[in-house]
Amino acid sequence: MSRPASVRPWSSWLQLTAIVASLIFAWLVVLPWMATWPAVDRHIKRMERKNIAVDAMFYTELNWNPPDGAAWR
Amino acid sequence: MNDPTTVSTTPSELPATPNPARPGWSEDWTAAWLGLAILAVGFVLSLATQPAEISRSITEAEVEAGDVVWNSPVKGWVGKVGEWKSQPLDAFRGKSKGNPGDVAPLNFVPLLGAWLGTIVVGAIASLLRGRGLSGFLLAFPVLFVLSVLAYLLASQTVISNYNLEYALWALLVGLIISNTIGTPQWLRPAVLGEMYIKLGLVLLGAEVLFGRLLALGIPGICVSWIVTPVVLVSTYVFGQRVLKMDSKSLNMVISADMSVCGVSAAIATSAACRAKKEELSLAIGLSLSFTVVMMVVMPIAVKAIGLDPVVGGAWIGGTIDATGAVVAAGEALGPVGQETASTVKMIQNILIGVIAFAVAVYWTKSVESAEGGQAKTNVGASEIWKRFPKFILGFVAASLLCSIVFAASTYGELLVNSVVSGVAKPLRGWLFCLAFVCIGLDTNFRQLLPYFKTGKPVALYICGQTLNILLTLAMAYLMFGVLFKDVVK
Repeated sequence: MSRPASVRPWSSWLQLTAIVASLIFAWLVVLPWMATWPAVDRHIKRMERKNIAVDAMFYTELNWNPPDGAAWR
Repeated sequence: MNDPTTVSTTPSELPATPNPARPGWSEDWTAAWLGLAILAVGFVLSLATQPAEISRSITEAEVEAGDVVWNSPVKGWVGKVGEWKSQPLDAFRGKSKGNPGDVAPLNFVPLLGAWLGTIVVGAIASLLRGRGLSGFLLAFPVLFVLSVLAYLLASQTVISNYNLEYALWALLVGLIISNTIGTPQWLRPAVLGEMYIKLGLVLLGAEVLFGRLLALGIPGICVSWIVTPVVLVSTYVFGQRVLKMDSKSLNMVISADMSVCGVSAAIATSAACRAKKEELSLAIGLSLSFTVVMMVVMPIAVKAIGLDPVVGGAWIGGTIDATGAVVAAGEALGPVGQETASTVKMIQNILIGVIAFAVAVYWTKSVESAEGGQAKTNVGASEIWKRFPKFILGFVAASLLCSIVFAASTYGELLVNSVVSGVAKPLRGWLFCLAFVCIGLDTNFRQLLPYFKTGKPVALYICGQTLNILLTLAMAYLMFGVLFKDVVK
């Protein structure tokens, strides 16, 4: 995606720096702080204890053995 | 109301091809053959390093009795970044094998393996397509670093435990660059989003094992394979007839990701119906936003209604889009509810093979013909073949091949599992992550904004999901609460 001609290079780099700084703040300060909230902390610990991969996109990414394959063989 | 998609002035099929066509294989055939070749290499590696205790006559009982493990020799050499809380470097540590408090050393081997695997695959794809190699090799390491950043954002513990998958953050990383400083021209040779998606889908085919369909017998199939297509078709028709959505591909991608299995279904159908890249981005954003809410609300609803955990688990498995979120929500119902939810979702996962193929056929035969001004009856077999997205054949071939080997015997099951866990799954994850970074790098925020102004995509999702919730509840209750009450117990 080419940069709009009206945007000056220094301002686009400034935008990028501001967004990256915001992300760093969010991920290194805000999210770790949210992880200490009792409800969030309970949820995370329960998922860890049960070994649940909440971010799994497909069933093969789950830490889970599907039902016995021999049942249908 | 105007069609938001008309705002885009450039053709932006998923994602835009950066260079004009040159002599070489087509993108579809390259993805299909290269994907199948990767799987073939995976099979050869596993067979060459077959453990002595595994023979062709091994039985399920022997596997269950002993510690029979058949890992691919490359398992662990290609991996994702791990979870971290406040220190991003923790994402690169393995699991500590000592005392619980011990900190594992940094281990960048899986990351280097992923870089090596993806750069080799990308370079071969570039060569097969008749493109230069030097530009690709120069640009790819930067693209890979952006993908690592996306995985790092996704693996923060709060983010990953609320199912905000890496696809979202990969899109964000790409969007930030393209909408501030712009995507540099020297990065373009590696920005092959469509190729990465198609290759990833062919590898995903190895994970679509039809034998898994019968894991819950007839009731599982009824909940996953009857309700889901009915909801998909109804939502698509509703979007066209009632909401009058101008973009059929956006309508289809939202209908599929909402009714089947979230991001993976969105990827598969968007490639099958040649959706625009911003349409895929929008569908994924919608799906993940609603998934977070449903993951919290659905278990509460199950308990409030007083449903049996098996019925509740089937309801959750059939309605929440994302696979991981289904298991997390099912956990609140206890072990039986969780197992039912996971299994119903797994059966639904398998459906994406059929859905992707059916959408590709429908699009080729009906939608593209109509858009091209041809009557449906005038489309000949050769024209259908010409338009058909050929990589889908690679996806289906991978699925059928692995399903047959998997179903043949316990030996085949172990073999397929070793190839999937060692080669297909890790490589597919990185390819999708790279693809979403590329989509972000090719997308302007201004292309996305008009979609939000109409509100139709959100309305479509909400209406479709409401139908999904009601129909799945009815079918889950009928199957698991009345007709096959003891199937899980």
